[in-house]
Amino acid sequence: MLKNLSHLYLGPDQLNLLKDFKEPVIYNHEEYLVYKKHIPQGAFCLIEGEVLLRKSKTNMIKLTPYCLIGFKECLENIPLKYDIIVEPGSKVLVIPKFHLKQNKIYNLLMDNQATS
Amino acid sequence: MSEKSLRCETCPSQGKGIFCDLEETDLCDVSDHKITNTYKKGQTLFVEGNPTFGIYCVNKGNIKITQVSSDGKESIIRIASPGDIIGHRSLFTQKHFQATAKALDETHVCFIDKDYILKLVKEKPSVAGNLIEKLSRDLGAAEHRISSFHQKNVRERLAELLLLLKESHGEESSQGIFLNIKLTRDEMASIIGTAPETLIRFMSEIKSLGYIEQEGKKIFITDEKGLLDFSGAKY
Repeated sequence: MLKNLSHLYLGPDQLNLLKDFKEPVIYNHEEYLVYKKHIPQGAFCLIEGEVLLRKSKTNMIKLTPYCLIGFKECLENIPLKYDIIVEPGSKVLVIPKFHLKQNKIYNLLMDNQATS
Repeated sequence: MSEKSLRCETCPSQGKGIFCDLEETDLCDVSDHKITNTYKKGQTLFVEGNPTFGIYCVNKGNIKITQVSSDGKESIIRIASPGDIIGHRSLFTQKHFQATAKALDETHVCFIDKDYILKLVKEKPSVAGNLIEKLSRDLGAAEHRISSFHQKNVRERLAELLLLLKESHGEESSQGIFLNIKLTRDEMASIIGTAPETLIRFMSEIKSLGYIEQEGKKIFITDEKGLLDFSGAKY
């Protein structure tokens, strides 16, 4: 399901670089981070807990830790084909558009994104 | 107009929001930083108790802002309409949202992240000024609501709610002023702090006095002055 969704698996150095801009946050309640056909409000990286990508009731996967998703869609205003749902107690690093546009992060993401 | 093509410079809610005094080049910059999405009825923008990382500008449609009590009861604390911003109080004072925001109907909303907003507040006095004005109005409305709960009975609070809805969503029609917002009886009861059955009874009473007309779920105000007197409002 990660095909056609910009994603990048972060190593410790990359994670630390992003953490310099934003600390991970803890979600106390289940929430739709992004609805299907919506443009993401930032890029999301699961640090701990559970984040689901859901295309339909029967087609969903759990995101693996340290996978950063949605950065290209956020920068280029591309709607997602999936719901992104965060489960209670999960720790997520959220990089908003304002920081995604910064050169250091932008170059990191564009040079290293996984190919579909 | 699609969400992608929705720019601040041509926004239908221009003149109502906090960015509207900006120069065109600055508005362009805001347009480039914002994310616009359409929320269907019932979809949630943010959840009470979850982290906050930006504000939302309502472009079209209506959003209910609710809080849940310790016994699980949901109360509507306000309705956000086109031109309103939501999530702004948590932005400055808390790390978590203090309420839940849910779309009442199809709603176009622009999201602007916290760090960009804070940068704008520091660099553009008009944005800071408009935000302060908005917060002041919100505070005034909240104080008035507290006062209403103490001083007015349910009938008067209902009449007051209808008048408030007339201000924000009233449209002239042949039958009177049509309240163009879809609120269930449960939601209206929640806003004024009563049970739905009580609300329905008092709606019938107000109708029998000739102050409103109902056509199915549609409400028309037919005697605004009468309703104003009934609500006990001083001005």
